[in-house]
Amino acid sequence: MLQLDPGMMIWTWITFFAVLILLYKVALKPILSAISEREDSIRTDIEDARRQRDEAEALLEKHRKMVAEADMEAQKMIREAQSLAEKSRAEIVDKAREEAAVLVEKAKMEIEKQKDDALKSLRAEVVDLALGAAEKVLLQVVDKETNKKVVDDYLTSMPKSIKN
Amino acid sequence: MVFEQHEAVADTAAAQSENIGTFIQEHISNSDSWHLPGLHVHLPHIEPFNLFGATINLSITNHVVMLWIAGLFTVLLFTLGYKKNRPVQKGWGIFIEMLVLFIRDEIAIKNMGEKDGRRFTPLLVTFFIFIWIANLMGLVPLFTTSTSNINVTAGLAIVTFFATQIYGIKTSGPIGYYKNLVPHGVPIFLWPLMFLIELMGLIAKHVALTVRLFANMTAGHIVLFALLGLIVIFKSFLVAPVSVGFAMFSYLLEILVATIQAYIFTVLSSLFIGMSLNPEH
Repeated sequence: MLQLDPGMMIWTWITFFAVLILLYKVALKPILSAISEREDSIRTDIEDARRQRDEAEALLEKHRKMVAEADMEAQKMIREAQSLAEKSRAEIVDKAREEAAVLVEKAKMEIEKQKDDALKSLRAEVVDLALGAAEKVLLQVVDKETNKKVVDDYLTSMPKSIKN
Repeated sequence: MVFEQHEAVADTAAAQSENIGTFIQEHISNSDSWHLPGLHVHLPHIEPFNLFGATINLSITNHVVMLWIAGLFTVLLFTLGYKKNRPVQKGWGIFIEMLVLFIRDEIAIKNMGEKDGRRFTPLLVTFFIFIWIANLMGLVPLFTTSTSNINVTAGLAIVTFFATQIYGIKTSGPIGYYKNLVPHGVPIFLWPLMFLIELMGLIAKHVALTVRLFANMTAGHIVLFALLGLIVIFKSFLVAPVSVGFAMFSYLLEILVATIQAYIFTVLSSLFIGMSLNPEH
């Protein structure tokens, strides 16, 4: 049972190395390369996925920022538009008020002028009338009674507005 | 009546046990024929020749045939089980891939480091599968365990031994490699003694590797046959249930032992090669 037999050992070596070489060529080499290829592909896939996730996160962050900026911009624009509108409204109102004031002024001036004109013509008329009346008075011999009556008539014939 | 029977059993037991002993011896030892039921296949005999003072008998013996069958079965298992063009394996392919991956990651890379582990994975996978199948063959009727022959286990251990020496010398040079055998920090005057002890340890490690596998595989078979032999020795069927029960138990134990021994051989081989590749600093 324990005797040494070099022949058996040699057969063991021959068999073992034949199996080793055959197994390596036929099976182990492809199996090991397939395994390591798969491991590599898994590793790169994981790395890719991680990188893509990071990119996506960065993009999302960027987009979020952009949306926030756009929001702010819009708010600002609305505010600007509002203030602009407010301003223009105030301007328009002011202008209208001014114009109205100008118109009123103009109307006042016109009235004043008309009044002056009227007064002027009235005055001329009064002078004419006074002259006429004076002429009549001078031309007629009148008593005190008549005199008074003439003046009264004259005064009543005058338009009321000229009294003052 | 039972007493008489026992007396008769005791008489014949002594005579029978000798026969059983030789039967077991014959079964365990190598022979030039393969015993198939009703047929003795006589294997070719090659004349022994002398080389360097040793008689080398290259006759094809029973164990050589068993080795070939184990080798053939190993290769067939891998070629038929693993489909190369399939990116994801099925059935046996998964098992083979798992086994290869386990040996690569848990045995080779763990004991040798990343680079050397990958390099020696094919050797270790072959060690494991080949030894495992050779061990298990003893449990299949008509076949015998070639690893219960010490020459076979010695041959396998010598493969490990040469792997450690050749790759150790390759990585650190012949002087560096043998200098590294002696642990660092040893006083200079102890060097010759330590070197001798380490050299003996180196040889003893591989002898232990040889004997461990051989003894485990032989012992199991002897126990199995001895248990079954009890039936013949006692010439009584009353023994049969006990014997068969124990034999069944040791058969199942043998399956476990066959696997464990193949695993241990592989792990120790990777450990020895790893140690010679990366000596302690």
